[in-house]
Amino acid sequence: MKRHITIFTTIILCILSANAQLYLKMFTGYSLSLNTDRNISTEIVNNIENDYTYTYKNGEGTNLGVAVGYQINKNLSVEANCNTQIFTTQKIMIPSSIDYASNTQSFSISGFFGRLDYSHQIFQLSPQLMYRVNYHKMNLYIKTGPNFLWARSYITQYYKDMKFSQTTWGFDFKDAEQQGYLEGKCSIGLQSSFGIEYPISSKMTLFGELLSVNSNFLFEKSILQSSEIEGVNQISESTQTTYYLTSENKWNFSQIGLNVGVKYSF
Amino acid sequence: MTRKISLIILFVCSISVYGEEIYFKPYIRYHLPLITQNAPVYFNMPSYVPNGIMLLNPIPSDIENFSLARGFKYGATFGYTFNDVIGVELSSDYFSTDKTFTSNTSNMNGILNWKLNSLNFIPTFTFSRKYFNSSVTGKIGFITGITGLEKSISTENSNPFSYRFDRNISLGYTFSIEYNYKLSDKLALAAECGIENTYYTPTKAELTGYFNPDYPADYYSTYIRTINYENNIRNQQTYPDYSSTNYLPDQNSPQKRIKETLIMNSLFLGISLKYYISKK
Repeated sequence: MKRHITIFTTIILCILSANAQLYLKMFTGYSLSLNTDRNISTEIVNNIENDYTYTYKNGEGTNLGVAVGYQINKNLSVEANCNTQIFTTQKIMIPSSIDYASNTQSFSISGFFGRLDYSHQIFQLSPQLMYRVNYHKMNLYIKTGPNFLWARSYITQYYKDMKFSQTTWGFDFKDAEQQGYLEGKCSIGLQSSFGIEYPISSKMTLFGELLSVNSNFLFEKSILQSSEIEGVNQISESTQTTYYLTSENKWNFSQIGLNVGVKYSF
Repeated sequence: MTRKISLIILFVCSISVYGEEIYFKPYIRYHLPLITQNAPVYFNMPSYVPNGIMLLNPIPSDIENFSLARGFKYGATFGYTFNDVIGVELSSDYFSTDKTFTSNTSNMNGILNWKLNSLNFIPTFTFSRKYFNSSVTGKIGFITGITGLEKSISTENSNPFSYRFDRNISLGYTFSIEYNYKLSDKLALAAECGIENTYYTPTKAELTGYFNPDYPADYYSTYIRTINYENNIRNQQTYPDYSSTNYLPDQNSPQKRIKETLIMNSLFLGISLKYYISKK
């Protein structure tokens, strides 16, 4: 029985690998964030309420990646895709209508007001199974697999530090700047793509694909790197700079994008 | 007008002449959440103390790992293949769910009930390859849906306080792969798996249920009865409420809140019976 199974498996593998070949892909493109979590900043100044929203565009940026694949037969391939993103910086401005020179007004604020510079570094690794169909000179394909995501987000905040002054019996506002980052371990999601391949020579193929990534990322800690008020460092040896975060700090890194690249078959 | 109709008929006839197959396919799918979100809040529950002061409590609405994308979907597809490989499909399906969550804060337990139904239309591009009696098809589709939503909050001591949200367009996309096995010349059995991502953002909500059924809806102020969801809120006049130290907007105007999006990302498995209306 064992011998039959071995022979059968060998025959199947031989059939499958009749057209097998190894290939390497390089690609670039752009992904848009599918994060819908809105942060809300609310201020009521002299009885007038303004609510501002902003969204961190996690997973949005220029994709740079490589993939190594193995074409099992004309229709099936397995490949390992990995990519990172560049140009991810996002500048967010949340203006306040507080008159900082005056201390006679009434106001109430919640959330952040000022300027936020937000960027992220990500690395995604996705082993995928690809189904391919030949149509005229082109190949149409769909592929999917788990998406292993590592991310780190950098945030720099420029804002007005507010302290109550007993001499003026009002608030003193000073220019402040804080810089830090959030990081966590690997999170698992799902990556799927639909694409078209067009061969330009026996070894080289051009391809374009529509990419979809579904993934949350759990940030486990935040690290404060610098904190200054009017240029004066606020971090001393006793300042806590590492904060461990709760499980609520799950950020949506889902993305949809378009990649183009070249495939070299060995 | 007659000329246009004739041209359309001519076009449809020529498609069916040159096309390979036209089929109809009723299906059933089971969806599992792919990723979760913190539950959208959409409204706070008001409470009334004996002297009639209204307080809006941010009751335990924020649930981690929240998703409504679990359950069965029923639908049907019309498909047309141009040749052995390329085809298009138009599907329509219906999804309905009724989920209850509990959430706790330091001083109150909340019971949150969500009812959602959606009718979706999905034009899809397909490509397939035939293997004897089988075929494998890859698909990519664009989802447009009409979604209705109702959410209620109740506590141990209150009746459900609920809002119905406007039927709004939900948008999304789907990737899937389908295996077909031919049972006869006219019939095939199909199994499909894939992902579906849809997003729904309500723009308006109306109060539908409140603590004490003895009080009619107009007992409540316009501010409580109607909520408009906006991208940003600018220059809203508020009035200090000295009894609660809050600033409250005009109670005779609808409440304004920031828009929140319900994410429905799911993985699905489905089966269907394919009936070939026309086949070459």
